[in-house]
Amino acid sequence: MAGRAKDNARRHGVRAAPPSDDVGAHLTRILGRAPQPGELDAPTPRLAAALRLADCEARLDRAHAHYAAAQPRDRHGDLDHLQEILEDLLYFDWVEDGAKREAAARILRLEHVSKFYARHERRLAGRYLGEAHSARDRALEDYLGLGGAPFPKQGKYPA
Amino acid sequence: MPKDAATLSHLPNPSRLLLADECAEEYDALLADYCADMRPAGALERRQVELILRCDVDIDRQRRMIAQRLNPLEREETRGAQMLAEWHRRALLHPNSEAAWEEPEEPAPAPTPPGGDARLTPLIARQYGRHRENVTLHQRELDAAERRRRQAIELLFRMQDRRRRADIPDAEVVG
Repeated sequence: MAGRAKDNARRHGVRAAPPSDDVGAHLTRILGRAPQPGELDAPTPRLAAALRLADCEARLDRAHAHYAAAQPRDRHGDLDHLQEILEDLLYFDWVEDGAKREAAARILRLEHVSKFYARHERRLAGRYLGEAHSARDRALEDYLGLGGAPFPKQGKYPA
Repeated sequence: MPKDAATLSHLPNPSRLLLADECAEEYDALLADYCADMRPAGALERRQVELILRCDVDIDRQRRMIAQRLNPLEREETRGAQMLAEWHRRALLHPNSEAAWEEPEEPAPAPTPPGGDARLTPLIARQYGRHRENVTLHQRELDAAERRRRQAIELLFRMQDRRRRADIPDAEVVG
């Protein structure tokens, strides 16, 4: 992943390691029991796959919550705050008229930038969700592939 | 697989994934209906059903948002323009009137347009022009949610197919 995209992901916190409680809850659900103490220190291949699946499930939940929260956002909060600061400037008596005109022009310019970045964040949230889904599906296939009967690949059913 | 898979609650709390105009109780009722239709066995299949439901919620949400963007009676006032308009109003205010100054009221929400009125088409087209970038983005998210849904359904069918195959005993070659 490119450096800038990596920074974006870190800033949103979507791709940070999920809380261990969430992973533990998913692992218990996948295994049907809580893992035994010490079992996770030297996991079997199946347990390792279950752990990876639990991690991907927790990441998917987080990405989905982030995606849902981003949908109604039409404006960028930080840029709106900048707009408010510029608005305050308009009301100060000691500010010269030229500076006020410049502030007014920038308020209007920020309008477009705020909407642009809100759309950009919504697009990013959609991308993170798609990636989390793909990673989770792969982890699920890997886990099921270790469980006795082979798991058929997409569109390749055994004859 | 856990024996009590049907009683396991979904993870996480659905209210984390829903917006203010979506109801967690309706989500639970829909999940129960989906489970009754698709008959998942075990926690993994049940989770897969829940992911299908989430995709449906996403699809429905994007459609609602597109409809809201194209609401012909919606009046869009940009925040920056409002700020400048208020500044100008205050600047032009007579000094004696400052005591009587009242903050402008929040605009009322746009009424719902009547259905099936062809006269609204030009207004809808105008709204589309205004919100073209947002509508395009919603349309893109709608396509992505439908794609995720198709993949989730396909994966559920493969899981169920595998389970049914595992239930069939191996054939014995006689003679």
